[in-house]
Amino acid sequence: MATRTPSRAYDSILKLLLVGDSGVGKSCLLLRFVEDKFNPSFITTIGIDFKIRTIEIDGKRIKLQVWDTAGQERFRTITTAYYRGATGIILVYDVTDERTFENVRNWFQTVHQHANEDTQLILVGNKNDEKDLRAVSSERGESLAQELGIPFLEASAKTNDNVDELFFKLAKIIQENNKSNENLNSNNGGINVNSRTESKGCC
Amino acid sequence: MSVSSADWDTLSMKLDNSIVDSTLFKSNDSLKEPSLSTAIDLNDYKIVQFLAKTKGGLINSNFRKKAWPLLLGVDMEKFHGLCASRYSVDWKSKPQHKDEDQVSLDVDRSFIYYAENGSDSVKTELKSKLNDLILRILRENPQLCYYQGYHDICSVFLVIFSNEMELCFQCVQNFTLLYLRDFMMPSINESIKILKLIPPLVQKVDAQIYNELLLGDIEPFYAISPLITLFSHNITSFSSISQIFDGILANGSLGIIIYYYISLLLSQKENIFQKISLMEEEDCFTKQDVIHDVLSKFILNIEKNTIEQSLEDCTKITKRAPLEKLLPFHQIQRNSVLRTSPLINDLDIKEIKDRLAFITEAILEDQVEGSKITDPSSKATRFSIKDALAKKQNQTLFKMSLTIGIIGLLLNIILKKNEAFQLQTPITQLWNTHSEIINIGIRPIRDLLPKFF
Repeated sequence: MATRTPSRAYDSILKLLLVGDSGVGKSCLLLRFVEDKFNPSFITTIGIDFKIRTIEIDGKRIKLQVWDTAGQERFRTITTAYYRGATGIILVYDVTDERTFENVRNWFQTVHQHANEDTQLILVGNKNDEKDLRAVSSERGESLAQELGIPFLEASAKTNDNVDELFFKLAKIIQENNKSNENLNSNNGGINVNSRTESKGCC
Repeated sequence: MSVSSADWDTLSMKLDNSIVDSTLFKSNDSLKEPSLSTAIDLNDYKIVQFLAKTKGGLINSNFRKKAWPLLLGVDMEKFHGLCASRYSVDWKSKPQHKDEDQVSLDVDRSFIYYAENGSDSVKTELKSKLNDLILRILRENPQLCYYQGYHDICSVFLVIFSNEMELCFQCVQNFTLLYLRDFMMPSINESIKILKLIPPLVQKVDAQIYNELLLGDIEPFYAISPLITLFSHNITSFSSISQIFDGILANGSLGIIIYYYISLLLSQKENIFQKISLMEEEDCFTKQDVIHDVLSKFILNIEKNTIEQSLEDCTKITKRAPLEKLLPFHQIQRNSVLRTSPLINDLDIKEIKDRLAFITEAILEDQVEGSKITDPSSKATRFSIKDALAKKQNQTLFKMSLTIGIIGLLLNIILKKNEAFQLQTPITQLWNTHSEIINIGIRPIRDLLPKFF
């Protein structure tokens, strides 16, 4: 297996994916996380693209490649093609919009149909700064997440509340899953970039 | 500014040699403006169509406001007639369309590029107009499904027609039915089928790009947004996007957009290769991901001049590789806009030549008479050219005006017919009717006359 130059600035790559109804703030969460910016009228996402940020967890540098998807249902034919490559998927709803919360189950099913079995999910209620407009309580979010068996957070791209936390939390869980899998398989510890099949193409 | 007779001599010489190409008007808007102005006054579809294809397209919003309705078969007389309000039957009382919530989400995020200098209040007003425009299109054509990106296209029309909402609506409606209906089917599959023409087309025109960028292996989803928004989601310059719309209208086919994409891709070839190798070096993502990323973003950074040049260069590719010959074309549905209005390169040069020369003569006469052309849009100038033309008006011209009139009439009949049955008509039937409209737009009218009379 090819070895990259020692100057590489990271130890592993994780491919994450944001899904959820149109307008829940997927692109805004990503923009906040990657560029620390917020724009209330951020341009619609048409199709699918990604942004990158490298984070550090337990001394390991992890490069996050986060895919952002169009929310309108008709684009699912396109976006679901990318589910399989993702190690983590962020299901986003808008706490001020009941319907986006109700749709979480649909998204959950779509994810199950198209993603890998071991893909780690997380549920995120965005726009939790909008106190007056809130339509979905934290408790309901929490209880749905429990029912689906996935972790949960509320966040705000606008006020930068819990944004880093959600990505870190997901990355950490994935990293731990990877570690325990490696232990199970009695493979040597440490996450190796080159062991990730989807990372080899360009090396 | 006056038109020198030397310019017209050059023009005549080129016309005589049948080299009617875009270079004619490239560097001389002072020549193009009066020609365009006259052609619009005369409802001369072919000349307007021809000038729209020359470099710089239809020049500015003032010309577009008049030329786009013509190219879209909108009957202007009705708007100048007594009762324009008769058209805007109260659409708000029509049943709501299922996609209206999505529209409002997208309208909230509109006018990011265009009208960028507009104040908040201007933008708020534009957004409210955009919302009404799209809702009216959907309520009056309930078979069409809204897609994210349609709002970007509509916003271009709104900036052009700013205060003429009724005309704007008629133009957008015709434009939607003629060019965008594949994108507005219940599923996105028809759009994907069109998208799939891109890789084999690239293979035909530049095998190196095709091979290096693994276009045979990756899904062409990188081009979904340029395709379905006709670049209005990707090109920030309003003058460039207007010229692209000019080009679509002048070519009478959605197919041209695929060639524009390829032409822009070719213009950025080296940059794209460089960027990809840089990203691979730095990031070690899969090559497929890197390619998807670069190809879905490269258009955003292209200079205005390069875009103009690419639009011009596009003609060469359209001739080299017709869409109909590509394998995935067989998958395209029978009533797709690509089938009902294919890209036609055989404009009747002889006829255009005659008419351009005719306009030229009239303008020259104008000059001789000492009334210099200072403002092509001013009424006085237009009328004087018209008068000069009237003297020399021959039968051909009369026939053409008649033809345009008939096109308008037929469109109106069909649109009315459509309005009457649309509530209970299955989408395929609607599609057939729309394809008749398209035929009228692009085929010689005489072929169609027996069909309707």
